[in-house]
Amino acid sequence: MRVSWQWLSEWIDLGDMTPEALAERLTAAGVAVEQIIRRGEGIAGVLVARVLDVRAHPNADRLKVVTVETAFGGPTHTVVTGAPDVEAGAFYPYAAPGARLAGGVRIERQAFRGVVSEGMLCSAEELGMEVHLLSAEARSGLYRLPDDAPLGADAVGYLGLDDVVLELDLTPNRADCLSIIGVAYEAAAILDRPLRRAPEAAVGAPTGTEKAPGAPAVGEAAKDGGGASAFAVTVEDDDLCPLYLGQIISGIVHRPAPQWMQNRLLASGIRPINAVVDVTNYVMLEYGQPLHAFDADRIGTERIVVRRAKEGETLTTLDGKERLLTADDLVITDGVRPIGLAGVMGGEHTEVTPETRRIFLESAYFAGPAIRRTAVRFDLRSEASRRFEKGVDPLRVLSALKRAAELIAALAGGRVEGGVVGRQSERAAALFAPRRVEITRSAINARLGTALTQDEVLDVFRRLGFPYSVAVAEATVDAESGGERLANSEERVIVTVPTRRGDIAIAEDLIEEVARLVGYEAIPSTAPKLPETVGGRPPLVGARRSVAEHLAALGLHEVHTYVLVSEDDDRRFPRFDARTASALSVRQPMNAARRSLRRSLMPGLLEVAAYNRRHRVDSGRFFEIGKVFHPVSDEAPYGTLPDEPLHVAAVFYGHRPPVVGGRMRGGASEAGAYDYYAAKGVVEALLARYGLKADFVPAADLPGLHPSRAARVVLAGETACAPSRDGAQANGEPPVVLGWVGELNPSVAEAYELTRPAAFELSLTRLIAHRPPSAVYSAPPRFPGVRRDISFWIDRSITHADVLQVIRSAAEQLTIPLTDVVLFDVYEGDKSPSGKKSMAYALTFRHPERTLLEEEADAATSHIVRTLEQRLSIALRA
Amino acid sequence: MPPSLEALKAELESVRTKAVQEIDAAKTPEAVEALRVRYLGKKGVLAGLMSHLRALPAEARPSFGQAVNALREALEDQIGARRAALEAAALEARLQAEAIDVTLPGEALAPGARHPLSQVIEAIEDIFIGMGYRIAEGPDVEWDTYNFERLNIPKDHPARDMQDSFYLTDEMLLRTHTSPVQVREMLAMAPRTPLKIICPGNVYRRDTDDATHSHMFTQIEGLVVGEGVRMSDLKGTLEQFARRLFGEETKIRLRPSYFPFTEPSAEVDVTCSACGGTGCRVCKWTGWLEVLGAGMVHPKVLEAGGYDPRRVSGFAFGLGVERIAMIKYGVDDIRQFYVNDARVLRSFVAC
Ligand SMILES: [Zn+2]
Repeated sequence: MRVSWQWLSEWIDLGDMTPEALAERLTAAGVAVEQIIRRGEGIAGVLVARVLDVRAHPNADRLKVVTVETAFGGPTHTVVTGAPDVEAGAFYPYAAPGARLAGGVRIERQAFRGVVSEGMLCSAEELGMEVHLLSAEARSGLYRLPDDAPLGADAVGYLGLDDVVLELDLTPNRADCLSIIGVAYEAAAILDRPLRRAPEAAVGAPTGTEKAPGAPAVGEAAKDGGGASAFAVTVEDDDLCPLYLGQIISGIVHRPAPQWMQNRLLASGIRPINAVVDVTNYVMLEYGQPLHAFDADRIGTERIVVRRAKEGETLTTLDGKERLLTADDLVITDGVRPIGLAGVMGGEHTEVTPETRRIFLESAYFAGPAIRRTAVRFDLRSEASRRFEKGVDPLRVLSALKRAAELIAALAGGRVEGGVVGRQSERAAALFAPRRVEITRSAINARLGTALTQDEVLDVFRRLGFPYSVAVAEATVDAESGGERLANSEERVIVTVPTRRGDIAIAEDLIEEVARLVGYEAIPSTAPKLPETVGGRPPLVGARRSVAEHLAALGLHEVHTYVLVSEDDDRRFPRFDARTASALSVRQPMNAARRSLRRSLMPGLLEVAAYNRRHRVDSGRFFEIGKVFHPVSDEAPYGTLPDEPLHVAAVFYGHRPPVVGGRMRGGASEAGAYDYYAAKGVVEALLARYGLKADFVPAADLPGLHPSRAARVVLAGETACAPSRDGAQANGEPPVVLGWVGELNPSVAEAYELTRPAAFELSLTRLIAHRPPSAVYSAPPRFPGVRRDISFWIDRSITHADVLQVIRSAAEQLTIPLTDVVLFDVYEGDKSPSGKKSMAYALTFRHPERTLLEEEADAATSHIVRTLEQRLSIALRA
Repeated sequence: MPPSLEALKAELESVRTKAVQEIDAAKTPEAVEALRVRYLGKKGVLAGLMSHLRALPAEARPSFGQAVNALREALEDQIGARRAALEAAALEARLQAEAIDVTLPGEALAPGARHPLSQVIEAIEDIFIGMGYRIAEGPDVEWDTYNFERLNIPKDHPARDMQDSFYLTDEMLLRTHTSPVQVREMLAMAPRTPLKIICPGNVYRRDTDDATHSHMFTQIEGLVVGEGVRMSDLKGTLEQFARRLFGEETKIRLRPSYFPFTEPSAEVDVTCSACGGTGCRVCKWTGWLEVLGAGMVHPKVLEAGGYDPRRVSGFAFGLGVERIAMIKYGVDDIRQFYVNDARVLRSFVAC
């Protein structure tokens, strides 16, 4: 809402205030002033002038030489202008030598091709006017002034360019401030000063005496003013339209609105069109009541029927678009077909045009939610719909109609014909009925923590203009506190809330009014008087933090990426913990790249890797902890809220960080590329950190991953520290897949312009669910272990896991415990026999109760080697 | 003829003189050891002199024996000292030879960074946990009723314009704020009090991403419900919070505002941490930064959460994590948090 200072000053005396001071007070009271705009700032020395004659320039085809005067018969001035449309006898703003125009341009006497110009004639732009609101005609050439413009007057004043505009950033509850009068009431309350006049008093009674607004007698009003209307009004939906009034005005002359009215519309950000339309906008801005003028002669039936649209009915609105209506839309009809979208936009057929001679002026109260639904569906958020949506003051429906009729009569040559016609439903009575809200001083103080006196509280309601009465509460026994203490015999304040403040309905609303008008700075700072509570975080939140710290310590950067991803990206990666195949997506995505709710963290992570790679960060390790989204059922993916498991995932690309200075120290200098093992190492570290053991099961079927370099991470039956809480596998339940680790399929990597990135993704939710409750103490071994190393050639297709399994099963037949098996070398190269690789293991035997004999260890090792020979055909190396 | 005592003593002196010179001149521990063997060994010079002892008259023996032993002790001391000196020098030389460039980088463990948003979330969580708050989380995909209706934002309410939403169906949407967690927690807790929770999480709005808007961002919501909770408690709590997050000298200011789920409502400003409140570019020369929305829980919201608004009251507040992080770290484009440029993240290794 843009509020003209001059306009506001007509309603409240602001003579002693600066706009800045008022802005600060309004903002502090919750009506935020976002900006203070000075119209025509810096413009000076521009006068209203009349062109006496127009001559061709002797030396330039495109210039004209004109003579202007600033007083009838006074001295004349020669001005050179480039405007092709300059007209003798017309009035224009004239910048005399010494004048200042928009942008600080200073006007001096200046020769153009040999003719001295004493100043210049100005365009709207040069005067700093809101050119985007002007017609093409008014915008393009010189800004022509009306023929009744006061010759010689200061154009700055005449065009209202000395006005200041307060631009309000209103919260949706303060619909009352969508009008000059509403802002005046607000300023009056804040500044504690009266309005210059009551809004009702502004209504002259063009058709005779009119009852004060709120008097529900419309029929009576019609009788009072000039007899019956030519039109008949029927309202078929009282809920959506509890009050509908209209007035016929005939004898309309097509002309522009007077300059002062156009000035105020421009200051308010409204486009001036013609006198009739401008008056409806002007009164809407002043009263907050939207009005609409129909060309009455184009409503052949001379009937207005307000009803819900029929399914499939159409209406071409003022903007020339045909709208397909539904029964949700309230329409104004001529009894046959729609002629306007109620409260939103009029129809093209009945639009006021230069040919319009008679209008039907509408002023109504439409129910906000219905107007909002229609406006949102058609994406037609007009000044009118905004006001109806938030609620207009029912008391101003009639007064605004009267005011507009009076102005149209005065400014567009119209004649108010007949009385106000309309319909007021039973429901309207409830709208007019003043709301009474009760409050006590102690309730206010208890809620705010203040110590306001009764006088301070009552003063707020007085300033707001809310009538109130005070009653002593009946002494009641407060049963809750033992039945002994008498509840306060405090005075209750019964506040009557004017209909203009539709946002106030309950005691809390009044508490806010008191708080904001005494000022929030009056509220002290205290500590809540509540019983002690122990704060904390649930396990998953705690785990999320410690996992993140752990991964960061391992050298990975944490990232945050968007939940919404493209459908294609979402489909690309494994969904190991989804029970369903479907994805969820938003109905109206901003773009295709942000459409589906991710089911894997990979799309976001790879986007991060790709971004960094593009920006010449040659290698990187990133992880994210975040939710993924799986529908619970494929039959009805949207039937229930989805599962939202928390995942942790990482991507590695480029080379491992080199050992700095390694070459100088004779150590390894070439860092290898990140690969499967880099990612797996981090997974293993993470699992170890949470006391979990997992099997890495080769998986060629995981989408997006390298088929022979990927594995499922499956919870091993037995955890490192203690059995898992639910002992899932012990009960023969399916294995718990914690996630996967692998290198990306080269074709997918290519899509992100990455070379062979490695990655993993785990369900943190699952990891935490299977996490052992605590570590289990294991005492240091009392007897030394005996280590035996074995190394052998073995078929290259046999995995480490296969070897381990054979060693472990062989160990079960031993009489001494094998406590540790560590792989310490794998070799595959020039020296290995064809199809073979070499593996080397360190076996540690340890007896809990005695020192082992060397012979025992030798025998045990021989047994293991024999078993390996039999089962895996190994050949022991020398 | 047996040697005279005088002659032996004279020889003893000449041995002393020679040995002292030789030990002093020894250049290596090995040379020192050779001298030790030569003079002090079982078949050494001193042992040779001692062999004359029996030939001496009985009365002369003690005096000569003492003289030889004195020389032995003196030489042992000197050899010990000389050896220690040579070993120290040798060690010194070896250490010198092992000199390295201590300014070369260490072996890279290259710690990763926690994301700045995570750091801010956790700092805020810690502050409130210290004040007795429990962290509560809720789903990102919500029902309209939790996201709006139970928060006093019925369908077709103009306040829905404040938050343009990503709907999945007519009734299901990506939550536009963390406030639905309030509702869920109240329903789980009512009618027990006090309820003190902090709810961090992602929220989503149909905004075009630019320097100041993000279709997804992070919010932290706080809620306190109990008997006799006052707006002054809200102010005191937020003052504490602001001091702990932005520094002890931070002040706060409440301005009237509107949220459908609180009444009265307030915008909360803190004194600009960049300039301390004197005015700078960060605070647009106002000295204040708007960081929180807050208010007293609307009775309809308490009711929808299962509480009796006549018996309990509450306050709620919400803040944007990105906004705080932008202020704290001087970031001027919200998209930066979701780009995850490694060169930027690296600067957050130190936290
Ligand atoms: Zn500042």
